[in-house]
Amino acid sequence: MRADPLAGDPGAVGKLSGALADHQDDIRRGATKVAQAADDADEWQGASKDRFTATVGTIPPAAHRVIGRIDAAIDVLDTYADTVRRIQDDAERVRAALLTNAMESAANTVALSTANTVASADDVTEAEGRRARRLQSDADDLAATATRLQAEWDALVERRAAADRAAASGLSDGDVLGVAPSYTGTLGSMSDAAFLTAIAGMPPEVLAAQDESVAERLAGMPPAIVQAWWDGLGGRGNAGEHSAPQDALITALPAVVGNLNGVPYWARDQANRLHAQRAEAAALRTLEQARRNRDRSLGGPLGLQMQKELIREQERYDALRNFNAGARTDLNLAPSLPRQMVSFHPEEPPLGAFAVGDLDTARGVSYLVPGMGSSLADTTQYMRTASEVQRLQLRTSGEASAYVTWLGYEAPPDWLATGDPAVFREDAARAGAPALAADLAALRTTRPDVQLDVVAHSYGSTTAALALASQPGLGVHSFVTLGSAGIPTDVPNAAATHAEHMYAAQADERWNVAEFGRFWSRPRRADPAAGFGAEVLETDGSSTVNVHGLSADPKSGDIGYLDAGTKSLLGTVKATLP
Amino acid sequence: MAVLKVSYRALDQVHDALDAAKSDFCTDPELVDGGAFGAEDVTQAFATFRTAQQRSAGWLADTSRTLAQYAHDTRSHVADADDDLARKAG
Repeated sequence: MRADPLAGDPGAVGKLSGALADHQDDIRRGATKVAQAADDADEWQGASKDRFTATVGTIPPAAHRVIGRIDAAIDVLDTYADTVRRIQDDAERVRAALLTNAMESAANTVALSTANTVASADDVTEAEGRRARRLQSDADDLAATATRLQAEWDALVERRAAADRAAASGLSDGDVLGVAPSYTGTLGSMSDAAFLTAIAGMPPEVLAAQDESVAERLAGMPPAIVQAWWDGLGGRGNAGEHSAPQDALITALPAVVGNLNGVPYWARDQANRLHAQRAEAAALRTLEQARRNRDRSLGGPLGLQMQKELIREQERYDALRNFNAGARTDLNLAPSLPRQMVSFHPEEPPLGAFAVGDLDTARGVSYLVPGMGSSLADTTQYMRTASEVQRLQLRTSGEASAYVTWLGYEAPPDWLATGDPAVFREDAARAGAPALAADLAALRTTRPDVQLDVVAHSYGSTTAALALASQPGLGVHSFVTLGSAGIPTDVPNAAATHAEHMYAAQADERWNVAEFGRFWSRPRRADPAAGFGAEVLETDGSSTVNVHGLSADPKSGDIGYLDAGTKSLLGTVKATLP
Repeated sequence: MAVLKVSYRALDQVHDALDAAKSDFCTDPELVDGGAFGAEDVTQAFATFRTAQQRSAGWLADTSRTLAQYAHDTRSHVADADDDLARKAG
C-alpha cells in the first residue's frame, strides 16, 4: 500500500512516548523497593529464606533490562514523530502548492481557450495575439510546476514509507523486545534440542513475554529429554542452590515447569507454589466480586443465579486455599519431613498433588489416590492421614516413604451426600487413569531406582487399577486398596496391575459403602479382597475399622482404614516401607 | 543445622516493600495508539512491543507479589509455630 505522507498524528506519538517514560519511572521505583526488600531481609536467616534469596535478586536486573527496552522504544517513537512531523510540514506545503497550481491551471485553460479563439479571427490585433502567446507560456510553466510538485510529493511518499519501515523495524528490534523477532519466529521450527537451548538462554522477563506456543511445546516434551536438558543447565540443583537459567524457568513459566515431568521435584514445588498462590489470590478477587454481584442483585432468577455463582466461587477458593495450606498444616511428624507441591492444574475443578517427603531423594515414594467426593479442598486432611503411615514407618524403621496425596483427577461426588450416581460408572476413573499413569511414569523416569507404591482408597482404587494396568513398565512395588469401589473388568486380577505385590483391605463398613458401590457399578466391578489374587489385609482386632473413610473423627468413636491401631494401617505401613 | 534467625519487623518490612514494588510494576498505562501512527505496519509493531513489555512488567509484578506473600506467610508460620511450642511447653 502507498504511504500517505499526511497520515498519523506525531503529537499523539509523542504522548505515547511520554507515557512510556512515566512507566519507566514506575519500574525504576519498583526496582529500588525490591532492592530495599533484599536489604531488609538481612535479619532473616534460615532454610525458609533460600527460596526468597534465589528469586529476589533476579528482579532488579530484570527491571533495568525492561527499562532499557522501553528506552529503545522511546528513541524509535521520538525519531519517528520528528520525521513524520517534518514530512507532514513539507507535505502540507506541496499539497497547498499543488492546489494553487491546479486552480491557476484551470483558470489559465479557460483564458487560453478564449484567447486562442480571439487570436484565430481574421481581425486579430497584435495585443490579442501577444495575450494568447503569454497565456500559452503560462500554461507551459504551470504544467512544469505541476510535474515538479508531483515529483516532490512522490519523494515525500517515499520518505514516509522509509520512516514507517524504520519505525516498524526499530520497534521489532531485539533491543526493544529482548529477543529478536526473527529468533522468536523460528522457535516453532527448531528441533527439540535447539528449542530447549533457546528458551533456557532467555532472561525470565523475556521468557514470560513469549506467546502460548512456547509453553505448550515445552509442556509436551518427553520426560527423559526434559531431564537431560534440565541437568545440562547446571545439574539437578536444589531449592537453595541452582543455576540462574533454572530459576528463570521456574519464575517465568511456573504453570509449565510445575507440571513438567522430568524436572526435579524441588523445582516443580517452587513453580507450583508460585502458580497456586497466584491462583488463590485470583480466586479471592473473583469471590469478592461474586459477593458484590450477589449483594447488588434484587432477588428473582438473577439473584438465584448470582447466589449459585457465589457458592461455586467460594468452593473454588476453599479448594485452592486448602491446597496451599498443605505447605504448613500441622502433621505432628518427628522428625519433620520436607513438603513438595508436586503438580497443580488451576482449571475447573482445580487438581494437584502434594507430597510429604522429598521426591528427589526419598528411597520410597507412595502415591495416595483418594476416592469419591475428594477434591483439593481435602488436601490437608489426606496429608494428615498419610502422615499417620509415615509416623509409624519412622517409628518402625527410622525411615519413611515420601507420601504423595494425589488429587489429580476429578473424583465422582460422594453419592451418599449428593445422590449423584457417577461413582457407579467408570467414566471418572478412565478419565483420571492416564494422568496418574503419566505422573507415575515420570517419577520412574527421574528416579529409576526408587521404590514406587500406590495406596488407593474407594473409587481411587478403580482409577489406580486402570492406570497400573495400562503401564506395565512402572515397576510398582506394592499396590494397596482400602475399601475399594471395585476394579473394572478389564483388569481381571492382581497380576494385571503389574504390581510386584497387591494388598486389599475390606472392612465391615457401616452402610456397606464400598460393597454398595461395587454391587451397583456398571459394568460390575470386582472386589479385590475376594478371589482377585491380592493379599488380604485384616481390618478387625482391637481397633476394628467400621466406616468407609480413611480416617474418622476421634470424638465419634468410629475407626477408618488408616486410623491408629488398625491392622490395615499396619499392613499399609509394611507394604510401603522403603 | 542451619542458623535460624527471624525478625518480625524485618519480614514486615520485606513484605511492605515488595507489595509497594508490585504496585509500581502494575501501573502500566493504558496506551491506545488511536491512529497516531497512520501506518499499519508501525501500528502492528507497536502492539507487539506493548504485549511483550506488558508481559515483562507482569512478570516483575507477579514475582514481587509472590515474594511479598512468601514473607507474610513465613511470618505467620513462625508465629504459629511459636504459639504451638508455647502451648506444648505449657
